Amino acid sequence: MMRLDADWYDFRDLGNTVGSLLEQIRDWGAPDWVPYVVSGLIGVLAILLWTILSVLAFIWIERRVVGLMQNRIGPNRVGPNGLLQPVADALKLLFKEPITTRDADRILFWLAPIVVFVPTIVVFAVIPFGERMVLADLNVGVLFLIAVGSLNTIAIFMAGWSSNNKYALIGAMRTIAMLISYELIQVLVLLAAVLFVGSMRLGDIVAWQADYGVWILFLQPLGVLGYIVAGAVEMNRSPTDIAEAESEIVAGYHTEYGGIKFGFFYQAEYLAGFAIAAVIVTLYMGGWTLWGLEEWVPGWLIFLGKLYGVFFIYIWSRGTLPRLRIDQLMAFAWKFLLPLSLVNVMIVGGEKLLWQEAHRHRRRVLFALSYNNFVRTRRCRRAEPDSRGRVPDPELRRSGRTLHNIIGGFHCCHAGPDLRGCRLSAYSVRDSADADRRPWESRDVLASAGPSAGAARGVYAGIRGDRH
Amino acid sequence: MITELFADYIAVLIATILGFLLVAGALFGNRILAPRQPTRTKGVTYECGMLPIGRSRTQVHFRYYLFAILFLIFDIEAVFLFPWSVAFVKIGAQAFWEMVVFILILAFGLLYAWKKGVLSWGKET
Repeated sequence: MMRLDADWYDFRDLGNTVGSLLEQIRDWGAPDWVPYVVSGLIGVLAILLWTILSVLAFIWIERRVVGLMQNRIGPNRVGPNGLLQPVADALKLLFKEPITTRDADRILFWLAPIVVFVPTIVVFAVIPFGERMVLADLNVGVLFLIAVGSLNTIAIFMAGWSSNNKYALIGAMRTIAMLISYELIQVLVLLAAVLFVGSMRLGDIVAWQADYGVWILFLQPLGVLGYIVAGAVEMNRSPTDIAEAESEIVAGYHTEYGGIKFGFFYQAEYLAGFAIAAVIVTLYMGGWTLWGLEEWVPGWLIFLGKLYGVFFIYIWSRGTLPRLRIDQLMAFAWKFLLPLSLVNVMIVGGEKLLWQEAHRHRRRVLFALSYNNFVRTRRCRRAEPDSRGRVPDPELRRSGRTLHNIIGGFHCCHAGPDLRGCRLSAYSVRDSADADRRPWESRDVLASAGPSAGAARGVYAGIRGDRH
Repeated sequence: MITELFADYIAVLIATILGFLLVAGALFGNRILAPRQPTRTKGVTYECGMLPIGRSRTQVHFRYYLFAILFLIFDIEAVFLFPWSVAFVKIGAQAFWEMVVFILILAFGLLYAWKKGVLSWGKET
């Protein structure tokens, strides 16, 4: 791989800067542990600064973008274009009176925001932001990600239980049922990626993808889809935010939280989103490499670009899709994604065996495998009723539709301003089994929507796999 | 003397401590900056604006526990699979077939739970 031998002030490789500083410290004759601690401190402070700035920026970006998608303006009063709105919100939360209810379990109640927030920072310790820009390249990186990422289950139960509130308890129970179901899928899907690379070190996984020039995204499309859905659930955001479904259980597990404690739950949600996007980028999209471009552009810029791109998918789905019910989500996890990810592990194992055999044409075999896997992933649609209306299993069919609604539900934003209002009817078309018998909801909506509807129909047909 | 093995974990420890300090600092700042006037009504648990009725720690459906047990089984499976995935190259085809059998046994368990209706949330099976 390319190594940038630059001066310490070269911003293309921030790892260099820290490296030369550490050399300096060693030259001064400091004890062994000083460079370790100093590098750790610098890294953690950089990560903290980056996360806080990104969260502040993305709160504004998300609210404006979702506002655009839903035909409204979004925050535009505080500062130019409402840019200072997140700052104002943070200050407001900081100045609010902290209320602890009389019946609450005080210790757990105060501990929960801490336990939910700290792991979201720690997760970033193993993420390689660029060449040599990783805080701790653990040899069990993926396992560490899973272990630390699943700590929020405990924190959420702490919050829900200690609030001594019915809504909070119901919200916490729901969340845990949902989180553990999707955690399994996350683990199995990551396992498949680890299996093919043969290392749990995130740096190795990035290097492998850079060496062969093939992202794991192309090799295991099924795994990526599973991880994207499981990630959406993990970060508790719409369309899978049943943990805090406002219309059902007030605010779920943080009903009793206000002020800065609520702020930490909110921020932890965002950070979990960034962490999941970072994992997707690192494991599936080549991390900070981009087919040689990293020689010219700083790797961390590539990484952040990819990360924000992936995060935008989640903003998009939030602006587009209505909330799913808990039975839909659970059935989707256990009856659709879990069997699929088990099959995925077995198939990837077989492919790995095959690939081991191919000594000379390793890259070509990789491309063949990618093609094969893509075709297979498309076939997963078979869980939906096929063109002749055959349905394997109603439960499976419902689950298959859920996959479509989460992954394929993005087309209406494509279609331009004319279609922005039609989102829900397009959704209900896909949700109703007799979509074809209700043409006024499917094609006529698109047909009457102006010039951009043709493109929309193309996208729509492409997603459905229909031949209109 | 700090060995290379622990060097990485020192960074993780520092991240934990700094994260904790950040939250603790903000909570402390909140304590200093914010007004504090607790009243009796403020301390009441929220329940749609009414006085709360009965205990808050209500019973939950046992289905949650069934899901938890299923989760445990498959999570342990995943724990077994991770070392396998790293050692896969060295052992070769043998490891593959061994694990296929292992996964199939557990998949059979999932099928059993499915047919028993454990995985269904509503009344319909």
